[in-house]
Amino acid sequence: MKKIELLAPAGDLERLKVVLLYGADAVYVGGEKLSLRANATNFSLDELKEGCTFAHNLNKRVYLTTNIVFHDKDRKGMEEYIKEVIDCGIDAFIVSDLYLAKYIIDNYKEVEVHISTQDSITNISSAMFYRDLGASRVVLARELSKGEIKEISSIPNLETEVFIHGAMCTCFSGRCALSNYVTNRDANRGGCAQVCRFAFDYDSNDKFTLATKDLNMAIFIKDLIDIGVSSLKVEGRMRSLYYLATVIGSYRFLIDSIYDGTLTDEKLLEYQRRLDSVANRDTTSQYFNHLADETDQYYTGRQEVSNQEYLGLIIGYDEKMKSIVLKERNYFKVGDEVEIFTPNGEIYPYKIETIYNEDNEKIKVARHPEEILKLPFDTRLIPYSMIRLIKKG
Amino acid sequence: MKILGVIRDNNYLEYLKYGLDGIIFPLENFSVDYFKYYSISDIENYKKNTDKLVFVVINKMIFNSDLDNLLEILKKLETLKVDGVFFYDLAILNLVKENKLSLNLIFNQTHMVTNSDTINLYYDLGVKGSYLSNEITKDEILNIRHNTKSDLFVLLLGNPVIAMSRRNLLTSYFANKNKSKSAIITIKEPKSGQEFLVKEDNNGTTFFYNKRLNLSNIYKELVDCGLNYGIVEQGNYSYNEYKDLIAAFVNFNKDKIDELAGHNRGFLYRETIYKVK
Repeated sequence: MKKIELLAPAGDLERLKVVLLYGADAVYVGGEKLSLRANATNFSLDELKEGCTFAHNLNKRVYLTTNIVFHDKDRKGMEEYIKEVIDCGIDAFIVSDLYLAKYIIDNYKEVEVHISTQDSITNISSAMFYRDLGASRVVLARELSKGEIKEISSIPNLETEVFIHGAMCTCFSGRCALSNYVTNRDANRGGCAQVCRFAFDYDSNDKFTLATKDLNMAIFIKDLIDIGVSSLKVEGRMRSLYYLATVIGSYRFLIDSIYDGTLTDEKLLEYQRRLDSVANRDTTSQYFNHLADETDQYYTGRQEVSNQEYLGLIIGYDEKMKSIVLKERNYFKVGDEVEIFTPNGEIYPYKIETIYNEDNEKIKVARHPEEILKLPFDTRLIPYSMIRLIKKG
Repeated sequence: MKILGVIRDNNYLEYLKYGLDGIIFPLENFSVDYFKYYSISDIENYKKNTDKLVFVVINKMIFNSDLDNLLEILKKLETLKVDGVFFYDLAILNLVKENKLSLNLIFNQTHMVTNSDTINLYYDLGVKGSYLSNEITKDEILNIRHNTKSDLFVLLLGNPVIAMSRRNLLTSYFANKNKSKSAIITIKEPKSGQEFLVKEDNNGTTFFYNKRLNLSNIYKELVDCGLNYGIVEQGNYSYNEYKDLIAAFVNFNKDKIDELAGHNRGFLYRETIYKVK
């Protein structure tokens, strides 16, 4: 049986490299046209080519989101663009529009077509329609229960992809134009203003809100493997490097431990905590075990918290000083207890006793984000290793 | 252009005499985004009483547990020889094809009927009608008409559907507030001042724009370009108001329509943006 795929988001080339190094099997990205995240730092053709080369060298894959609901004028240059991105080396398109899906299926046998969650596939019959059209995979609606996912995943010759982590839409994907009416930004062409996170006037005493908590399926990964899902998808092309490294690294660990039979309850709890630590909202499993209800909603404002535990990105090693070189992200000081973690899954507990600035002067406090700093450390670490705070000193 | 009604009160046969060419029936348990739903026996009753057009809406997201009943419903609608079925979920197209049912299907994916190529593809797949999204411009409507053979439907007058969720958002909200639940509420986005009706039923929650869309100003152009069907919803009009409104479309009287419905032209002249500088 094929091992389940871990699919990660990447808003730019650096994120692509980070998520693949931290254990994603495949990455999905947006290009400069036809993507539903019009305001992300989308990939140019050159970046796409570099990203595909990077991924393929690791024996991993790149999927391009081309999932806007296009209008007649968006059609201009579509065929040329499709050919150009295929020449860059992408492995699959994630498509919403039926015309575009069929156009790619009919003209390019060398790439796969995955049907976007924008099409809100909620049943066996519609999934089979897309399979018979020639799609190799369907990204299921986020509104499905375990049983419903299992039934669709039993369809022969069709892969299913399921969201496991990240922000949720309140409404069915594709069935929401709140953004169009409130901000004139087109939700279905990549301009979604996330109006479902706004507070609305309802009566003089109260606000009506409809925002949802985020999704976190860490404790159900084994169930998803057992019911035959092909790919586990993490949301968040615009998330930070640290968030992506932590989330992808955690799910990589969980998946591998499930397959090799070593996952313990303690480890599951530890990684669940790690995932919670980078979340900026509360999380639930949403529809997996019950019809989403008030426990899956927010009613006390946005409740988002910024994450302060990400201390720095390791960017090099100073042989003379036997120190790791890092770019600071958040305040830290001598006495703090931290963890240094690498894309390989190695974790080094570390107590900060000395900090050097870029001029090799000792300092006690690191308080300037983006400042280059050094910490004594015996081992050279691979690129994109990071430091997180465990306990303040 | 033929005028089709969506009726909210119980007098659906009554309105036919004022000039409606037919009625659209949202089917109970299988449709969402409407204020009143009809049973198969309502449709049978209609067919017994009139030769006018009858269209049925099946636009909810279909779940596996719905599929058996859905097939039976589609077979009944075939027997009833309805003039068309507005569908959202591709399960309907798949079931109609698989079972070789003789049903005229209308592509009705609320916000996603926005371009000529996709409409033409559906046409080639046997879907001979398309209900255009409310979020496209007048020029886009005319361009689609020019580029497609599909029968085209537009909402001439009514409260546009804005969003649909599987969540019971009113139940959840009122439970959290420990208040008794209302089935419909009005909310307002404070910065833009836009108001929405929020309605919950067994299939989830729908958001409607609280300003009626009124395309009276381009009605003649729509007729001239060959647009096939215009939909006029009753909404919260009284019997007499709705009767007058139907008459004002049938014997076209723009001033009367605007007097009754206001001047919200929606996105006819307002293109949505999606790249924010």
